[in-house]
Amino acid sequence: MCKKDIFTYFYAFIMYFVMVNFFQATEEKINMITKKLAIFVLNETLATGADFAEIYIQEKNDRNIVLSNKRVDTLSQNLIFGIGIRLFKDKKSVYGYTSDMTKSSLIQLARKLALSFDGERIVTVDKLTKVHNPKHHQPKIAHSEMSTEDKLKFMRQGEKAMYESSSLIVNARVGLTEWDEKVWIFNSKGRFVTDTRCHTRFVMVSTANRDGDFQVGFYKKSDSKGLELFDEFDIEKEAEIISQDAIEMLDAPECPSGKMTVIIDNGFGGVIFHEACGHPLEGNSISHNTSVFAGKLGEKIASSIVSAVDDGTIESGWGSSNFDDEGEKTTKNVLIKNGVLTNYMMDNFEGRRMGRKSTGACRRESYKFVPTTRMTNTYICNGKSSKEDIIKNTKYGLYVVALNGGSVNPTTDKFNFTASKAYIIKDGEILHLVKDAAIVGYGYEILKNIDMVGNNLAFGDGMCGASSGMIPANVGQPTIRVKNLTVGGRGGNL
Amino acid sequence: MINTTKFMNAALKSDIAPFELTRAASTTLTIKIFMDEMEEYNLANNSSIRGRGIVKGKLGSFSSDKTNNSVIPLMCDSIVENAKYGNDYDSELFIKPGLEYKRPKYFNPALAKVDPKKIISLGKRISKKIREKEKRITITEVYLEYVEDSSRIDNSNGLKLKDHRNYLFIYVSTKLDYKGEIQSGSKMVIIDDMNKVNEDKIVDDVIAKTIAQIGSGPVKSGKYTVLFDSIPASYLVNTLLSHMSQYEVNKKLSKLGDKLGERVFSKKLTITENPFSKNPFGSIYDSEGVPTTKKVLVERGVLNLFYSDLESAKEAGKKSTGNGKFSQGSIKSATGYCCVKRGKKSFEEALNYIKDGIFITGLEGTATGLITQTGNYSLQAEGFIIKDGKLNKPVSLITVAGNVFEDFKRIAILSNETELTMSGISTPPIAIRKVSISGI
Repeated sequence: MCKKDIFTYFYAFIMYFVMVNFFQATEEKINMITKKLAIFVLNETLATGADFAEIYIQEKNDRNIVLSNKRVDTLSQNLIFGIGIRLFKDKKSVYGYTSDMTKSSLIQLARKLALSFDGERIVTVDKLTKVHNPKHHQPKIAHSEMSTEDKLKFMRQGEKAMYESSSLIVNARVGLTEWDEKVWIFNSKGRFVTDTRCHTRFVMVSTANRDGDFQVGFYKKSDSKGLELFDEFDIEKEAEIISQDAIEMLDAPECPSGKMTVIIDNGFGGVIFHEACGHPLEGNSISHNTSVFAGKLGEKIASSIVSAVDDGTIESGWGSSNFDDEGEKTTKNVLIKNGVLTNYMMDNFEGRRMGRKSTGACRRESYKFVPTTRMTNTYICNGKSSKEDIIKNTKYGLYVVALNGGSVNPTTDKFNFTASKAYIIKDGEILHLVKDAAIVGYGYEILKNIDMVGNNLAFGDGMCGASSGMIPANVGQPTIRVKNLTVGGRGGNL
Repeated sequence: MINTTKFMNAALKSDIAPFELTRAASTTLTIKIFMDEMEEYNLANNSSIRGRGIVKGKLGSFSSDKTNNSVIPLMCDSIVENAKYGNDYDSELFIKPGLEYKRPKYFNPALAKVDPKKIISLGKRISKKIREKEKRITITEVYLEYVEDSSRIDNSNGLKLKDHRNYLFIYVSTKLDYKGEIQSGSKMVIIDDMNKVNEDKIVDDVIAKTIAQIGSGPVKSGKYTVLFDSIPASYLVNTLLSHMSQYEVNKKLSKLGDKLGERVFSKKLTITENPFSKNPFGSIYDSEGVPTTKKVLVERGVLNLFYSDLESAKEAGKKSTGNGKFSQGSIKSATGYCCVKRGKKSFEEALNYIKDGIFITGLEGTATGLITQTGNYSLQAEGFIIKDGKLNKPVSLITVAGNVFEDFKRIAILSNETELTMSGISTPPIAIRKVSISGI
């Protein structure tokens, strides 16, 4: 319950690749063991009285290219390949995994897991029926369609633009992550699901140094897409902007501290909702009564101008997929409507405790993690105010334009996040940049203290870390204003 | 598992020379006890391989969870492909056998033989005792994880190295619900011997942490003498250590790059790396097969040396200190187990010395609020007010902000108890003068 959930894009530098014809080869092998062996293994696991069994197979090719220190700092490839078997009996869960995919290894694992129970068989699997996959979120340009040389050529444009923007830039880091993944899920309800996922992540970090003082500017762009992502941003322009950010930050004063009104810009600003409300609304915290929102369905938990959604179906969204990691279709799930809590996020195991159905949000980093309820693309819906009005109507406060990320304790709902770019606002005007601002509070209080919601919804991508590993997740919101937040910095009291 | 000879023959045919094969395998048993009942029982067999080699003077690498011989062609092809764009690499950086290695044992056969039922019983007892002793704690969870790791490095120069270790990790967490106030607590312990488990201490510690925060609130913003408890202090020390990497120094990204031999911190600070200490963070060789060494990194505030891998040491005209670590596709310099030298005064005496200040027991947001590159931090914190040399009211929802390079010049005192943290650092609580706290 107290495991800290963190959200940050810095984990983006775990990056990767795909091989030509990789999945063709995989399909062949999987088909060799599929249905017949899957049914056999499922039945072996069910022999001692488990009431549900599931097989999860993952094959993921990750490639990571990083330019840093004026060289190809990393060009790595990692093949993630293994199987996880999960059993339920009432409210108990048993899980095991192996990367040894031989028939004998799978049967041995199945039998070992079955030993966790000592009853009689109550479920038998006779057949597996493949569930139709709508095949959303597929790449237009596969990672294999561009040579490494051409990818490096594109990345070097960003590297060059950063160095050329100023002699103060001492390091230009450009990273490209490519994930190509296929999963196969079989379960004792007779379902057989496959899903193919393609993720691309592009990150630039510009480091400025003056007299030993280092500051950084960063840019990222990630989606469930292929290399068409390269056409969606101006690499040189973004490289220049972040280099300028880093240089301006060298002269920025430290952020003052104290209670103040905070305006959080649209896009990645949605990490505030992700931390403050999203994690405590996940099935695991709710079903174990370790969340402040447990038992509050139908209650008003936020300001009336706040509505929020978790939506794993957004086309090509960073947190989207056709099915979740227990083979349920992803959904658009309205969590809060006009301030009232309307639903939780739920997976099948936690759903057993709650008597609730899955919302298609059970996720995991890999077969090495027990899957659990996680966010997909989570956002606050549009309101009515314009961003300009929000700024104009603020007498004094902090305007947070960019964030590093944050973390939350779902039990107490104490959360924090760190601003990477923030300005002081006075009498409705943007005054000056400040650095190293931290914002802390109770999530449930912040939801009630949102007093203005903009009409400019946008998304930002990050990597979310919790018990089932690091997963891609989108956050989103329009510009919002929150009153009475605790801001920390070294710039002295207000 | 992959056959070394087959891989070596295939590598030679692909003109990969020299080359290295690292194999790792682990078995893990994870048990989750929720409210005295076992809720999860997880078994894991992990294996992975990593190949590195030089093709036409450039380095390529590949890693995989698929570890049988079928992966050999893919591995060789990938190393060749990746090397096309890799960096120039000296073949001398693949070491030869014959170096001297220490032989401390990180594997305890007795721990490996412990019946899982005994581990489950331990978790159930801890869970039950907590709620029996403290009725206001309404929910308890205990994670117990037994890990057994083995690894092996072979290279085409004839190097053959093996390592084997095991440990048990225990994590306890609680929820307190008292008169509408919600608090939580947690405790982590890593042990290499079941006989070393002090379950009553775990119970008492987590109860103390949970109830300590009842009635907590912010303090007035200002500058305080702040005593960082061992875990919070380890986050700050870790940031200092990252700037002692020869790799970072070579790239001119270290704030300590031109300070070797200079007093850069308080005289009270001494940091030693001891890879031979018996804990999960120790090792006898690094990711490149170089023998690890015990070394003083900071001695009475003076920066003593930079730790290095083979490549970064060569670039600096030095010898590797055995600190090469494979991470995210390449080898970089990194530390293993480090310890901060303890002070002479007990915790109570340290409080008395400080007189008035803040004792920080928890820091949150370190992944994003502690900036390694600059050393600046601004983090959510909780702990206690220190008043008249004693712990007073609990504080929470405050932020603590500073810069580690400046802060460690102003060490007031270190107490004499140390704790091994998950960062692989043992440190006593460290008090620093004039730290910014933001509250009300």
